[in-house]
Amino acid sequence: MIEALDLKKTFRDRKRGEVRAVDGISFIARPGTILGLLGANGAGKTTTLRMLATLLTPSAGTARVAGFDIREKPREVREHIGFLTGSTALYGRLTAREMIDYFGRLHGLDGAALRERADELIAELQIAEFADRRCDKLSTGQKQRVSIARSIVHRPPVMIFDEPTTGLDVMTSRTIMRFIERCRLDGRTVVFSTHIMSEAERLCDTIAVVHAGRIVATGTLEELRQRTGRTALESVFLALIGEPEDEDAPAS
Amino acid sequence: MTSRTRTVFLKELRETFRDKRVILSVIVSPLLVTPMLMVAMGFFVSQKVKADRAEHLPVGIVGAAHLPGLDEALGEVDTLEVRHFDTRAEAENAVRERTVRAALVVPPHSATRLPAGESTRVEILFDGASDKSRNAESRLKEVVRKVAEAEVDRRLAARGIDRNLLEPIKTESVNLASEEKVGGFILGTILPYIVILTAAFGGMNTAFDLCAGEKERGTMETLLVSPASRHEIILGKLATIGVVSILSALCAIAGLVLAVQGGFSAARSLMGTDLSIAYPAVGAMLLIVIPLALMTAAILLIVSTVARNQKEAQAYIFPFMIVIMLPAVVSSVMGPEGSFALAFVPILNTAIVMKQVLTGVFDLAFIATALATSVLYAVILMKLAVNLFERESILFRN
Repeated sequence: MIEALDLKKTFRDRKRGEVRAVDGISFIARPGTILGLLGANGAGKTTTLRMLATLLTPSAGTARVAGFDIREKPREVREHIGFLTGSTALYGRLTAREMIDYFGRLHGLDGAALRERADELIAELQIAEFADRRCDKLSTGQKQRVSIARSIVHRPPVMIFDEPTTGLDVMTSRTIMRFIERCRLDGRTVVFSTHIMSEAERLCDTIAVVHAGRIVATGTLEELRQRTGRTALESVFLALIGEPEDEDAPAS
Repeated sequence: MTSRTRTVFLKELRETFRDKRVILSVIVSPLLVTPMLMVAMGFFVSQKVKADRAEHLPVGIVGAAHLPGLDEALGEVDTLEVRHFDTRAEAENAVRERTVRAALVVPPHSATRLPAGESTRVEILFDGASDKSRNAESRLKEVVRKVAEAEVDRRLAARGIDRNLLEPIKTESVNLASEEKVGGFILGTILPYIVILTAAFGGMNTAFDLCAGEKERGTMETLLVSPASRHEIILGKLATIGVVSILSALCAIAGLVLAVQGGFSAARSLMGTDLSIAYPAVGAMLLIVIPLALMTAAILLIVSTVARNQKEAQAYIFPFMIVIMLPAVVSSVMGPEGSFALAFVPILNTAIVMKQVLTGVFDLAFIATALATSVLYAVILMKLAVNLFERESILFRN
C-alpha cells in the first residue's frame, strides 16, 4: 500500500529560480492493483516516484509506503520496494548472477537463502543460459530480465516503475508489461508512471492524470471517460489537462 | 564497517579488478614498464657516457709552437684529432662550422713569457650549445692543465723547491654514509615524487568510474534505492579507491626497487656508487603512504561525486592535479631536514618524511606531526566526501 499525502517538491534552479516540480500530490495505491501516473514529460511524475523511493526528500508533505513513513523510516521503505526505470542499467563487469547476488546482499540476504532465491529468479526469468555472462555482453532483452530479477530479489510488496518501457523495443516492452501484470497478480502494490496512453489503458486499475505538479483527476478509465464525455484516453487526457485537441491533425 | 558497506566494497573491488585499464595502470605499468624503462634508460645513458668518452673529436690549435710541451700533452690523448690553424679567425670559423669541435688559441708571447717565469693566457673556443663541443672543450682544458702542471714542476725544480711547499695541506674526504644511505639519498630525490603521484592518481580511473561513471550509466539510482544508506555506500566506495591508491603506490615502490635491483646501471656508472635500498625504509614508506592515499582517494571521490559524468570529472580534476603535483615537485629538490612548519603542509610533509626514512634521518617529532596532520586532513576530506554524497542536489544534478 502507498499513501501519498500532499507531496511537494521545489528545486532551486539558477535560471528559473524556484521550480515547483511537485505541487501537492496525494493518492492511495492498494495491494493487487496498478496505479498509473499519466502525464507529459516534466509533469512531476519522476520526482514524485523518487520521493516515494526516498531518493529525494519532499519539501512538504509525506507518504507511507508499505506502512513506513518515507521521512522517518527511509531504510525500511527501501527494504520494501522494488524500483525499475527504463533507463535502469546493470554493472557491465558483473555477471547476471553476480548482479542478482549483489542486490540480494544489499537487501540482507545471505548464504543458502540468497543462493536459493537467485536460482529461483534465474529459472523463473529464464536467465540460466546467460547467468554467468558479463552484463555488458547481454542483449537489451536479457539485460531487462536481469533488471527485473534485481528489482524483486527481496520480494517487495510495493513496486515502483518510472517510465519502465522508455527506450525499449516492442519485445522488451512486452516483457516489462507482462511483469507489471504479474506483480498485480502476486498481490503487490504497483505504481508506475508513463506518458504512453496505450500502456496506461492496458495496465492501470486507476489512472491519476498529472499536470504541472498536481493530480488533475483520478479514477478508473471508465470514470474518467464519463467525467470528460470522451472515449479515447488521449482525448480524455487532453480534456483533463485543459489542452484543446488538435483539430488540424491528420485523420489517420 | 557494516555488512552493507562490506558488500559494496567487495563488489566494487571485484568490478575494479575486472577493469583492464586499472590492471594496466595500477599493476602492470609500474611493476613492469617502469623498471624496464629505467633499466633501458640506464643502459642507454651509460652506453652514451662510454661512447662519449671514447669518441674521437677534432680540435683546432692556433700557435701550438708557442707553448712548449703542448704537442707532447696532445700526443698523450688519443681521442683528439688535432688540426692546426694559422689565425684565431680561421679557428673560430672552423668551430662555428663544426669542422672542429673546439679550438685552443695560444698567443705568440707565450713563447717568451713562460720561460721568463711569467704567466700567459690561452683561449679555448667552443660552442656551448653542442655537447660534443663541450666535451672537446673539457678535454682541451685538461691538456692545458697538464702542460701548466709540467711548467710548474719545471719552475720548481729549477729553483730547487719541493712541491709540498705549494700544497701544505692535502684533503681527503671519507664518506661515512653506508651505501644504503647514499642509495637512499639518491632514491629520496625521485621516489617520494613518484610514490605521491601514483598514490594520488593511481585510483583516478576507479574513483571516476565509481560515482560519475555510475551516474552516467544510470546505475546510481538503482543502488541508492537499495536499503544501503548513502553513508554505507560512500564508505564502501571510499575504501575501494583507498585500496587501489595504496596498491598503486605499493606497485610503484616495488617497481622502483625492482629497477634498482635489476641494475640501474646509469646510476652506478654516473655516480660511482651502488644503489641499494634499506628494506625497513621501504616498509616504513608504505605506512606513511596510507594516510596520503586516503586523502587523495577522498579528493578523487569528491570530484567524482560532484561531476555528472566521467568527462566532467576529468575536467574538474585538473586544478587538483596541479595542487598535488606542486608539493611533489618541490619535494624532489628539498632536503630531508626542513623547517618544522613543513610538517603541517599536506603532501609535502609526507614527501619529506619519506626522504627522512630513506636517508636514515629520523626526526621523530617531525614524522609524528606529519603523520598526525596527514591523518587529520584525510579524515576531514573523507568527511566532506561523505557529506557531499548525502546531498540530493549533488546526486541528482540534471
